[in-house]
Amino acid sequence: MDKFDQSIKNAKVNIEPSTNFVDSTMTKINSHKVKPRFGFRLWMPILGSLVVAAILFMVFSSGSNTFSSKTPAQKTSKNTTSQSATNNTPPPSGTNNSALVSYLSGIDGSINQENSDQNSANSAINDSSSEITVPTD
Amino acid sequence: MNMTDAQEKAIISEVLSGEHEQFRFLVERYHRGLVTHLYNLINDQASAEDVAQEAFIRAYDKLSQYNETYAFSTWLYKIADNIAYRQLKHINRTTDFDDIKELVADDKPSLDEVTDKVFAREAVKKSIETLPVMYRQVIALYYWDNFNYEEIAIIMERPVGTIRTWLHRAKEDLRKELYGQV
Repeated sequence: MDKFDQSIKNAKVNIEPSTNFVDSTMTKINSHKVKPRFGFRLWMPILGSLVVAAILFMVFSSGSNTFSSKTPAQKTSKNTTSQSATNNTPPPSGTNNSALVSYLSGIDGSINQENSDQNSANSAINDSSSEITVPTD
Repeated sequence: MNMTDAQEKAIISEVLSGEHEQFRFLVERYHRGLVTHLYNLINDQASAEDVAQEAFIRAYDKLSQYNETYAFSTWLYKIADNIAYRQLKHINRTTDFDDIKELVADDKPSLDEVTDKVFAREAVKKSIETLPVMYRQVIALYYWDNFNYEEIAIIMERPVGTIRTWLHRAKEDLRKELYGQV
């Protein structure tokens, strides 16, 4: 190291940091450590959960609307099925054979009606499937 | 505080495992050197302490990213110099060249005369302040903080060859500034 290098080296100014530098630095580190992590670790998960819950609510509510908007045939099917179900009352106890036969034929008619409704519902579904087919040029 | 490198690594491991208060030992070990280093770059004690504190806080936050292959001091100075460099670029410091002319005699004394005189130290310091920021950083790290070229290259994120070139040019500029010769 020549004289010029030595003169550069000697130009260094030594200073003494403030006496509370270490303490104030550690205080800042501790406060810095707690605040952002408090926010991140506590509020972010809560906020995230709320957002997820809102999204799920929106998905399910729109889904239930979709299910409720069925084709008229499906609606008819639903109505007749419910009507048929109301017909399926158990036979009164202590009735004779003719009454029982009449009751069973009533049930048979209801089953046939349900099958017919089911067929019309299926055809309606097939129709809607063909309707939503997107033509490719 | 005397602390070996092995003890320092142990402290870093403790901090990383959750004993945050152990970081105090690292602050105590390096704060004098770091504040002095920054003061010689920024020339303002309050700013130097602010930058040093910010550097310690960032070092604490990013401690998990510290690569133990290198010395902790190298990593800490790298963080501090990055902060200081940005600050210095924003400040756009202006140096009063008249002050230097007053310190360095008008009749251009010889090299020996200048370096021997009492005011030489201040003159050199003032001349260093006129250099570009990266030259000042190289001079501070090499002459005042005793880092070698490889360590300075890590701190300043430049190739070793660039650091050598910058140091050479910094000295040339200083000679011009002080003695009007190359």
